[in-house]
Amino acid sequence: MTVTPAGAVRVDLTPHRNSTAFLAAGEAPTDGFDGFGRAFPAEELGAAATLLGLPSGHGHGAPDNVACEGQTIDLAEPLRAGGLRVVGAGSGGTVSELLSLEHDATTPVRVRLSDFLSRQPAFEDTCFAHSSFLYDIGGRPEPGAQPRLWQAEIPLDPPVPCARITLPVNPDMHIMGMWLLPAGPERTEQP
Amino acid sequence: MTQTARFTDSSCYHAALATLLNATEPDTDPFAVLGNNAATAARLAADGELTFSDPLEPLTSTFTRHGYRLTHHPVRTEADWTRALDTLRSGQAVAIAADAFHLEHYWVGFRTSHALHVVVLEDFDAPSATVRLVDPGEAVFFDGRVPVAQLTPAMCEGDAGQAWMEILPLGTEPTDTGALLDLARQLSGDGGPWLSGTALVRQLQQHLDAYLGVVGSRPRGSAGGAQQDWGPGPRLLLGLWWYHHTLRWLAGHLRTRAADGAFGTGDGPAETVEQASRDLLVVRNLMMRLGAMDENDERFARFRAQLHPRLETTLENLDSAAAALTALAKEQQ
Repeated sequence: MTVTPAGAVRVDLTPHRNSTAFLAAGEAPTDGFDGFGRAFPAEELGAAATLLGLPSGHGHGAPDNVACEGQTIDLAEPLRAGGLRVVGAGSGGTVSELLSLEHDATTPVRVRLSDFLSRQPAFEDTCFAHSSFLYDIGGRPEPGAQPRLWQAEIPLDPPVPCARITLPVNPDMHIMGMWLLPAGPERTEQP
Repeated sequence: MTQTARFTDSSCYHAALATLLNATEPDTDPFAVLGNNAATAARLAADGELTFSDPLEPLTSTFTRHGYRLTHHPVRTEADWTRALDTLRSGQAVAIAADAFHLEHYWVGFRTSHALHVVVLEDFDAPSATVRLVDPGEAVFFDGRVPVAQLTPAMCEGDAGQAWMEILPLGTEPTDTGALLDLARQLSGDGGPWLSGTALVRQLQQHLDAYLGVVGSRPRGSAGGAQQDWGPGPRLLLGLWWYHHTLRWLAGHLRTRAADGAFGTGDGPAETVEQASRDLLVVRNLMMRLGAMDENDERFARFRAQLHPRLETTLENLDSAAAALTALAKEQQ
């Protein structure tokens, strides 16, 4: 798990969470990550749950991630972003999608995340959290699988003004957490 | 014990054959060989059904071009399986396409699916009657010794299309003549023995509702019988899954060639091929979802509306990659 840099602004995903990827012990299985019920054990998340701002009922049926279906996320305040950090994973394979950072103009930013069942990153993403087992179809603990959450960090150079973010339509892209890294003050040329 | 590189991939065919190639020829880059292929392996039947050949078919000629013989031995009897074991006893590694239902290490399909799964076997130990099994699948990586008796049902029970494969050097020099033009034709041209990539995508575009209906009739193949008995819906999804991996490996191959300076300073068409593979996977996965969804679900129309733009982008990227490869081939002539 990587420490979020000071000054990073967490994007509030709360109103947009629409999928349940985590399952707590003893709970009835839901659709899980992949629609087949495969889930990341909630009890193995530890401090990552707080860092991601997951709802207190995660693992017990409360939606805990955003399956991308074209949602638009309005920021509390516009900012000049020098980078985008996303924690999530793909299901049914890796995902590579364009997110739109919007203000007066729209800037497409490609985010690439490995599959939640991959043991190694497929791209330049890094492991954010991993579990020692998987809740398989029907809620069965499967020790042969080690689901992971991946973290992608995309530098924005030049920085991009952003007031809202529109997600792609690919429900196999699951986003658990998102941060914008504010750019330094805009430099003006001195005569 | 022979040491095999810890190579993993999300396509069991590519992962196993790359590992087997590495066991045979440790200095050969698997992307150089397995990625030098853009065949869809798809054909169009008279009734409009898309049928896909085993991905091994186009790969066989790819291996030949690189100076190797990839041989596929169907296993229909215990005697066929014994021949694979004899080859292992001689010290040669082999790959097996086994019935996943009986593979204890393979949690994805063990006791639930009769789909074929490809793994590598090597280092037969007669006293313990065990063999080293390497499963380089990304989600299931396994490298350990298993009793041969444990594999016998996976290879000999039922008729799932089980087979064993070997890779042997042909003793001939690799021939790369016409390779770029062949790849271009496979992406967007006559496609050779199969539909080209663009022909396959156009077929999906023109008859999307019909294909969605086919997928919806039985969206999940793994719940049923042997892979050979799957209906047209699961077979279509499986064929698109394979073609996605073919394009992904082609992108890797093109990057390898670019690193060797084949495309001057740039990456060549690797990025467009990669993007085509990504969009095709999204189309395939959305088709699978739509097949299981109620048409009245408010998300149905949103997902359905993604298919045409994604297919259109795939078409443009395949065309663009084919044009770039053709231009490069002409430059090199």
